[in-house]
Amino acid sequence: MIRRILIAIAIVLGVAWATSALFTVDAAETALVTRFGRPLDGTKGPGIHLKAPWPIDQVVRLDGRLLVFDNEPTEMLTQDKKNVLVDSFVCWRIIDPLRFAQTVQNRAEAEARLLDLSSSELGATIGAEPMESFLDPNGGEVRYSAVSAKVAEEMNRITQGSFGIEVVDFRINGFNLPAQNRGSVIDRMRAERSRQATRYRSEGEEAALKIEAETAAERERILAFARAQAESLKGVGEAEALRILGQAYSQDPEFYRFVRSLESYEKILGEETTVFLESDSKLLRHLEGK
Amino acid sequence: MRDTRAPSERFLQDLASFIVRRGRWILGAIAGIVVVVWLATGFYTVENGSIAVVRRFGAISEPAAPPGLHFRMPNGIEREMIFPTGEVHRLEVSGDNGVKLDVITGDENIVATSLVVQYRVTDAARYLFGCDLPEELVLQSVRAAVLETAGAMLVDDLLTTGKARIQNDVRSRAQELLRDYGSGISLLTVTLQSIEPPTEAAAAFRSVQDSRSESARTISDGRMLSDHMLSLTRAEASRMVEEAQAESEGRVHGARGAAERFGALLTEYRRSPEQTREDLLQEKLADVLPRTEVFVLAPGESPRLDLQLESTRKPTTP
Repeated sequence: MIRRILIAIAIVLGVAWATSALFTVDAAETALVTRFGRPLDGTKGPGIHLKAPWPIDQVVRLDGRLLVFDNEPTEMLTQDKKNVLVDSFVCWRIIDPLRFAQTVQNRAEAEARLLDLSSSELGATIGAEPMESFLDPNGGEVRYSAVSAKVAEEMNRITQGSFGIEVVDFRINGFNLPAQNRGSVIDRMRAERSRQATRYRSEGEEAALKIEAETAAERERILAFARAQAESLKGVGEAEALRILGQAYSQDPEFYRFVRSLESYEKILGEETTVFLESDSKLLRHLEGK
Repeated sequence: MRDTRAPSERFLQDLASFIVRRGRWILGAIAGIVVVVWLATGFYTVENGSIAVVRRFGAISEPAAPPGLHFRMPNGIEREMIFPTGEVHRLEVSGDNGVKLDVITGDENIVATSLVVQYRVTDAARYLFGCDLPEELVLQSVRAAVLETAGAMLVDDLLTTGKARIQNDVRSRAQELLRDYGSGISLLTVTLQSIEPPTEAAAAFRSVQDSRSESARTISDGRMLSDHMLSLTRAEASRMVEEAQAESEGRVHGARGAAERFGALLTEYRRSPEQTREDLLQEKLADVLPRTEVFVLAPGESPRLDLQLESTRKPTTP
């Protein structure tokens, strides 16, 4: 009986030992096999794989995903000697687990290397670009992408061979001015704004003055037109009046002259007139009723 | 023959003899049931709004199983992972430590902004197994896109009319990055939550606004004054014309009256010319002379006057 139990245990252990030759790698992982601690060639991707059973071979699992790493903002100098505060991030993945395991070993170490590398590459690239590369008031392309791509390329040249790391992307995601430069930009912004404010005010006044002048001219035009119309109306009336009178008077011009002369007396003889009449004047006779 | 055993004892003994007789058959049945149950673990359902990612020994064998009932290889070989793809995620993008994101504009001004991004996972396999921190990836991509967009715009456009353009540009740039990273993420909307000048310069920007509205007010006041002035002028003009019209008509009426009077006198005159002349003269003199001072002189006499006559006119020479 004991013998049978021992055999059963041996079989179970044997199967367990044999299954240690099988291992799976998850979709999010990449792996490599070490034989007595010495890494073997060949990356093991996701799926089921064979290896020599324990304790000969062991599996080292690494993160196979795209890893994001945000750099701290770093002060740098552009080609035209302007201080800028550049923030960036790195997307990377392990493409050669063996090399990775031999050199940097873990993620923290890898990120420290990437930080050093990206800082120096970015510093060099920014140092070769004038400030205008990153500013374009005319709506063209600014060179953040170009600079980023160049840094990524430079980083890749080193990381792929040396660390088994592919830099999928390096990208500038913050571009600021350090405190002292910021102050001068703010001052300039303020000055620009106050200039703009003054311009708006004077433009308003100018427009108002123009309206005033146009109004005065328009007023003159309206009045002149009305005056002309009035004069012409008066002229028409006067002509009509003269025509009517002329027509009437032409019936007897001699009598008309008489009536006119009578009317003129009224004008000639006023309160301050002194009349001297000869006693035999016709007028006096009239007065006496003869 | 009589069985003297108790019923329970009898049942156990019967069962034991049955097992001994049919042992192989029973083991086979048990094994069969186990296999069927094991195979049945291969059935799984996916709810609406979700999809399933199936992995075989860790490697993805089915990246996107749609909603419904499915079969995969049983447990131990394949595993499904259900992921809600219908869900809309919301992410606020600003600077580090929650302050606004400062960006430099094309005309070297600074604006502070914050955005809200909405995204959906459209490729769950990539999202789950392709990247470490998808949300971080979205955040950093959007920041980079904002930087690049603002660098090619003027501060005035950014603060006023350019909002739609920023949102569009940022979305398409960030989406491009996320696609290149194989993140499995689709950006739905990018919304500018705020974009404003830095606080140190805010007052100066406000004063521009003030001056703008002040200027508009000056102009509208001027226009109002002008309208008022012109309507007064038009009233004045039409009064002028109407007065002239009235004056003109008055003249004509007057002339008509005078003509009629003259006509009447003439009729009278023609009937008896001498008498009428006389009457008219008398009438006129009676009218006029009482107002004057009259001296009667003998014929040939001349008035003794000191010739310092007061003239109605001023002397022309001193």
